Amino acid sequence: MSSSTARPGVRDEDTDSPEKLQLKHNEPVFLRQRFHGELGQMLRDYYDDVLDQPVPDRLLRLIEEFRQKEQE
Amino acid sequence: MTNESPFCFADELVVAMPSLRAFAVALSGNATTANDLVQETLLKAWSHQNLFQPGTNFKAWLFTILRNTYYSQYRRSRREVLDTGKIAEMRCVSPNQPSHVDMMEFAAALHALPVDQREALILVGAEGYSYEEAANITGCAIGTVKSRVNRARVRLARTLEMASVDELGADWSARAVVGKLGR
Repeated sequence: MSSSTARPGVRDEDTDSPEKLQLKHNEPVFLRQRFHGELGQMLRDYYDDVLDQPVPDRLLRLIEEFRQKEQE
Repeated sequence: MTNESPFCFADELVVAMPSLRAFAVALSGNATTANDLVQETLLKAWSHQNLFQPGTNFKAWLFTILRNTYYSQYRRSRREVLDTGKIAEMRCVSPNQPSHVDMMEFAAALHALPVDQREALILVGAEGYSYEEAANITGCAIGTVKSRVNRARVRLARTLEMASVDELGADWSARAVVGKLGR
């Protein structure tokens, strides 16, 4: 028996996840609170450092090949 | 009639490239493997570009391809070995700077995490994806992503001997999920 039968008018995807819906409702708050401490800063520093690395030539050449094919 | 500029696949790949590489490094812990992984992702994305739905998140689509490629082809053992030499080469700062030591220590702790926890932490904590977006990329439930992020936080804090998990910031929703899963 589906949950929609048990709770008329409520979609299945809503009935099986009240906790999920609550978390989703609160998510903007959690997103702001998240990773504000020292370790969060280290994570961002680590990731930013990798982001800043130059892209290898072979990858740039590959994209250039794609670009040329797009223009053909 | 709209003024929207046409979607240029190659241009979008260039924009996404740094994040794609960073995610690949975070997954593999090895710069060479990461570059191979990105290259394969680009080729797959190019050959399957008809499957991308305009208007949806292009970078998230690429991340999904990269992640699937990593799990299907590159992950040869459950325990990844951090290539500290490659990580050191990739650092911008001088090895003599104190921050270099901190960063190396952090990178080692990060790569000691199980890969599922590491990818969840990177997607949410570093890339800034919502739990829902991270769940879509990793193909698992939102609660699972929250659980993995929280476990990663706890483990990192312990490894780095930080005072408390709050060093990573409060996230009571994730803790609640972990608490329920642990019962």
